[in-house]
Amino acid sequence: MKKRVISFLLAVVTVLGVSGLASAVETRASENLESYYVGISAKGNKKMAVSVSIDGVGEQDKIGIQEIEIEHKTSPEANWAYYDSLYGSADPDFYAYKARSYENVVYFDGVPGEIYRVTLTAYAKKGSKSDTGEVTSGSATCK
Amino acid sequence: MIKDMGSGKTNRPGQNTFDIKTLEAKTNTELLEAIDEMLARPVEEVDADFVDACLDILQVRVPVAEDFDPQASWERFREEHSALFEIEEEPPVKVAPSKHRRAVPLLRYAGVFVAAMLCLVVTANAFGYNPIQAFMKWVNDTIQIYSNPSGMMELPPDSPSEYHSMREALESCGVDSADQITWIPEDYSISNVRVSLIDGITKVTAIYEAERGELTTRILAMKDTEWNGIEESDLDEIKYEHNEAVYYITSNFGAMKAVWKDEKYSYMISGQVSENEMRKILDSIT
Repeated sequence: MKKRVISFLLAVVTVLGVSGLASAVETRASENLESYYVGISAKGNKKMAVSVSIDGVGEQDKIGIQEIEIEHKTSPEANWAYYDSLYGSADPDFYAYKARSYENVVYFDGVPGEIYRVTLTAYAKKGSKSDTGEVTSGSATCK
Repeated sequence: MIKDMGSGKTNRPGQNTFDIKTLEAKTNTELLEAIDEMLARPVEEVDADFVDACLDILQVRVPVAEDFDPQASWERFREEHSALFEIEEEPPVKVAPSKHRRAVPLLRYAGVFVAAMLCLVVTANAFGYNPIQAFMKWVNDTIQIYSNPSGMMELPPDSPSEYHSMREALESCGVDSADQITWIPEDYSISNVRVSLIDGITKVTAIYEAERGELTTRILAMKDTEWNGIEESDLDEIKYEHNEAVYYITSNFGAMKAVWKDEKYSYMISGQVSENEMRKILDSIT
């Protein structure tokens, strides 16, 4: 009986060991990004403010905004529609270098009465490794 | 009835005749068998004289005392040969189980237990988790938590840093209502406090350093803003409740992490600490 139990346990270990080597477990972890936050608010006079906070895992060679995608809708019942995008490649202020974190407020003009939301694509790079992450803000009505 | 043995023959009307000399020539056993055979006949055919003659012959050869007591004879025999009877009368001795017999089942169970533990350790290692190392680390951390004071959480007054502690930075930003930790592992010391104030964003970050790595604490507020955030993690978060507050403990690429939020602020603690140490950090929040 004891021999059978030991044999069974060894078989289980072998199977699990092989499967552990053969497959990788997918996770949400990031080696570069610790956290990223985005918010939107109406400043008045058609001006909308996008607040961005990005934290890296320790100091990063480059950290910041890769893209901000803006969506809008004319009423609460309407569907979201693409409005505009802001790219880091077009604005040097969208990145910080040799930094642990990045904070910034980006502005765009909207249409009063329309509702807006933004999706941030955060970026961080250290050495040859880089990573991105997306997060969508709540909504705010332009005034 | 003892017969006269002189004549050698005895006759009765209707009975079988027998010869005394013939009987005397028989052995004791043959005489006894003849008696048994005669007594086995029907009553009317039994020759009592024959039986008596046989018994008379036996009495001469093997005289039996008139006052023979079989019980007394048996008792004398037992006394003379007591050794034969002592073995039968001694009660059976109970043999206690030997220590060797008791040790064998214990060794079997121990062997099975060790084999099972070995299998579990190997399986856990296949998934990148070292249970033995984790257990030793837990023991070490538990001892350390309850015997060591907090690490340094305030820079020296002569430090060139604008802010010397997390508390000072929060007070300068008017964020004195935020949660503040009051304990960190003893081997950590504060190295930097940073404040970022940008049009509605208030972010205060403190970095603590030790030989084993860094520990970062961050408080974030986005005033009058509809905001959302993502905290990267590689484990299912553990819900931890203390003093009516709810915290979520997880990890990101080997660094322990705790996140939580209230109506105004989003909080994060991340660094090279154990789960037990992280719990104690959270317990110290005022």
